[in-house]
Amino acid sequence: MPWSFVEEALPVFLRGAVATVGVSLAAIALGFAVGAAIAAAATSGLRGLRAFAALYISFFRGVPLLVQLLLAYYALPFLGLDIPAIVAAVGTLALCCAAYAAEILRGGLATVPPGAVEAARLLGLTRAQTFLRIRLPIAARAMRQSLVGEAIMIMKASSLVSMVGILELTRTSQALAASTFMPLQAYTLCGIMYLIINFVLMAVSWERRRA
Amino acid sequence: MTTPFLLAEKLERRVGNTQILAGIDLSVQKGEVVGLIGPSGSGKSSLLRCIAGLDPLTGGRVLVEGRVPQPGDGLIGMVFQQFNLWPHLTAGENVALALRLVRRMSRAEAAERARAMLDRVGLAKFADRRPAQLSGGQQQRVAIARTLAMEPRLILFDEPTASLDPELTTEVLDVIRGLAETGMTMLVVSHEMGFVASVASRAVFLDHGRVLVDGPARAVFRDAEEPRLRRFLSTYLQRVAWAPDPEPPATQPATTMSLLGAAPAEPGSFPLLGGEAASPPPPARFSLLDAATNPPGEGQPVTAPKPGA
Repeated sequence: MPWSFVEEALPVFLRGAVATVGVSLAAIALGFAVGAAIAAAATSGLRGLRAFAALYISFFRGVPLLVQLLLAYYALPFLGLDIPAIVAAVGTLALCCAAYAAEILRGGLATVPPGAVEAARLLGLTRAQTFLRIRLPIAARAMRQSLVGEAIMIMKASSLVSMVGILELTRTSQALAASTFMPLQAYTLCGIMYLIINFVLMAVSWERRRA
Repeated sequence: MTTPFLLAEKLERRVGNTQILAGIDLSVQKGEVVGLIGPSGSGKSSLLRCIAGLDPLTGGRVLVEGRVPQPGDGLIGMVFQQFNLWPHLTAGENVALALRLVRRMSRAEAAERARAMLDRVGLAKFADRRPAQLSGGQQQRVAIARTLAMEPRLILFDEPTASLDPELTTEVLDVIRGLAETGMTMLVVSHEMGFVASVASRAVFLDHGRVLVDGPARAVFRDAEEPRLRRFLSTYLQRVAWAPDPEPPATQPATTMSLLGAAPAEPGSFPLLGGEAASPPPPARFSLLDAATNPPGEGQPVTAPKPGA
């Protein structure tokens, strides 16, 4: 790869990478928060809430993300909801992430042995204390790998938002490939950038040695 | 008679069509150690869980010192078969967490009390280990320390040694025995008959959600007259290789016996057929299960059983 190309393209790529990371992190943070709410709805005592959660999860897991994006970008304006492209992009990624996060969260909480909760109840811990101090930390050990995996998936899926005109890493490399007629170099660099970003995420999931 | 410390009246629990507790009356005085025995599915654990408030009753009521206990009100502590320690916390943190969150102790105060409690069960050195780094017996002792730290008025033991091997069982039973000596009121569900016989002041035999026998432990084990209880206890003796003379088949239903005609009762056999069987029930048949001949913590065979004596 000609180093002159790298030198010239790098600043542009870095700007794209910043956009990718920004869009993805916003979507992941929002998605995990909404996912927690969906998981709460899915395990609530109210049938209506459970039905809503089930519908939500099956829609966002069952329809391709690209189609969801196109729906948000092109179809919502028909319904009178004219939202900026960046909102459509981050919003759709977040809602999709939430569906998966909800399932991970629900599965993780299901691994908490009921006895651990009963012991907490008898010792006088409140429900909130039991959730924050007992159930969540125990579930977190089971969920960490899956949640990091989900974050990585969203980071990569964010390449799809290039379709609705967000100038992020993929879109940048497309533009560069077209203008420089060097698609191989452009896309290779693009892939390397994604790899570096996700490498940081993966490092989070590595088992830390206990002291 | 003073008002009982624990009063359970007509406890009933039914799940679907299954009657788990069928009207259990139980009153326990302060300082009593009550052993609950009975076959699997007889409702022993359910009884404890209902008293603790973990399972809902479908009838009857529980009063501890005149109050209806609620889970977490500090009246009742419970020790579980599966220990139920919190795996993400160290032994010390397991004991200290409720002290901090419920008793509002400072971190240092709670840690100090946790250490004292662990010391009481002989685990002061293990405060920084996680449950996964402890043996089963040690885990159960941490669970006992965790319960003790909250100073409950009544402690329920739900088969505390059922998932431990015999050696580890001993270390847990010794802790419970020590607790009994301090005058703690306790209900102990256990299949360790020798332990129940030696530590409990009273034994209650349950079957199909009912109390069949309730009396001083010594009397229940020595002079078991209730046929179902005799059958139950004899299965325990049969499983012990060094038991005295083998007992007649425990599961043999009474009906077949009557078809064969009332077999002449051998000296020392059970009056399976009830009162009409000739000889009166020989006393001290269950010498193995008797505190007098089976001193605490020994688990030694009774070397020279005197048949019928």
